[in-house]
Amino acid sequence: MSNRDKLKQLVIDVFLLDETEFRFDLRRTEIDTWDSLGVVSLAVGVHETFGYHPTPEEATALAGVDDVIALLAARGIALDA
Amino acid sequence: MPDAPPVLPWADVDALASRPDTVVWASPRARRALESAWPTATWLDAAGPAAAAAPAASTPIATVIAIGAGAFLDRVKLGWRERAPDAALVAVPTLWGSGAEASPVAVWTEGGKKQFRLDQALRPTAVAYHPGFAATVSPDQARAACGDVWAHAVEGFLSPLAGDALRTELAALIGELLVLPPASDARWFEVGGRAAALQARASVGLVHGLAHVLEPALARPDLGHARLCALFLAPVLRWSARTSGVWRELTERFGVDATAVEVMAARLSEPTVLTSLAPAVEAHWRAVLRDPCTRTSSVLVRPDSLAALTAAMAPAAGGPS
Repeated sequence: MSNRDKLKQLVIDVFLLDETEFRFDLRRTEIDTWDSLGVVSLAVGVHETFGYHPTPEEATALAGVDDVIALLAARGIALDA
Repeated sequence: MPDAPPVLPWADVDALASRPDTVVWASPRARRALESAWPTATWLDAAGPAAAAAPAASTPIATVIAIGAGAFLDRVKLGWRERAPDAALVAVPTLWGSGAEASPVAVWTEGGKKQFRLDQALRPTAVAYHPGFAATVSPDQARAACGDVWAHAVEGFLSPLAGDALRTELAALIGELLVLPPASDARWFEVGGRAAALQARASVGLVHGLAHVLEPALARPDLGHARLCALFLAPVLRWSARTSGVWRELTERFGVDATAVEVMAARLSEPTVLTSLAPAVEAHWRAVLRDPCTRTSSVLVRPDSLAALTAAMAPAAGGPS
């Protein structure tokens, strides 16, 4: 599975989305379950999936899927890998 | 913020109970146990403040002594400030496990779902323990209550919201729990209160997510919160260890004897009952995924985690790795 597919599956699983609801430009404001608990789950999931554990500040600042992509890229984790 | 309220010696509680500005709000069992020892105490009806006969209006209430098991103490915590907003609350548990006597959390069932409130104002002012209540706990109740304490300690230790300082405290507490028998013993009162107070600084996880969903869904008097925690701790640890390295990593880093904890968790569980619950877990899995406790699990609980979890619930599931 590519990193792109891993991220898609992670977001679907963390926020309990239907596959058809997923977009790479989804914003936090569009997802009801991306609340404070979702922030925690997403941080745990990013760590499990990509091996990088976001700090609480980083996890809280994520405002959309593109921010997760940027965070991973800044840690050398490319999505096209 | 203190982790747990101060512990009052029982002699102080005796003295408080005889004061005219103290009211005692006790479960029927606790009242029967103490009524003769406290002949001058003012007793509130167990049903709550609405049904209570108020003390004389000229005597403001300075202290409420609440005595009962976790659900009862939670009810008092939610109603005490309404009844006597300026009074101190001394909580006396008659059963260990929930830690209601020490935590700022209250849990109740509403509309078939577990609700909870975390509010520092709910934390009792002081706690007191009466070792005599331990003798009234049956072996089955004791095992379930021990499972509740263990679930608080282990899930708090693993919580993604716990920092190193909290994990160090919980690792030490886990060491203390390992030397206690999973049976009726008055020492469980104090460690149980401490486990609940410490986990309230972080979060719990999937064990509590399962218990919070299944208890109201099953509505079986024999499957209360504590027993469900005792049942699910072992399979959740097995599943966690097979899914993620977090259990091994944290236990090694903080000096927790992982194998001893796994053996204890297995002693607390009941394999036959656990297997019988697999269909209920499957039926309510979506609700488990949405439970707030599940969402702060140390291992991400995904929709497709169900198969691995139910495999870990099977009698032949064995050890965690």
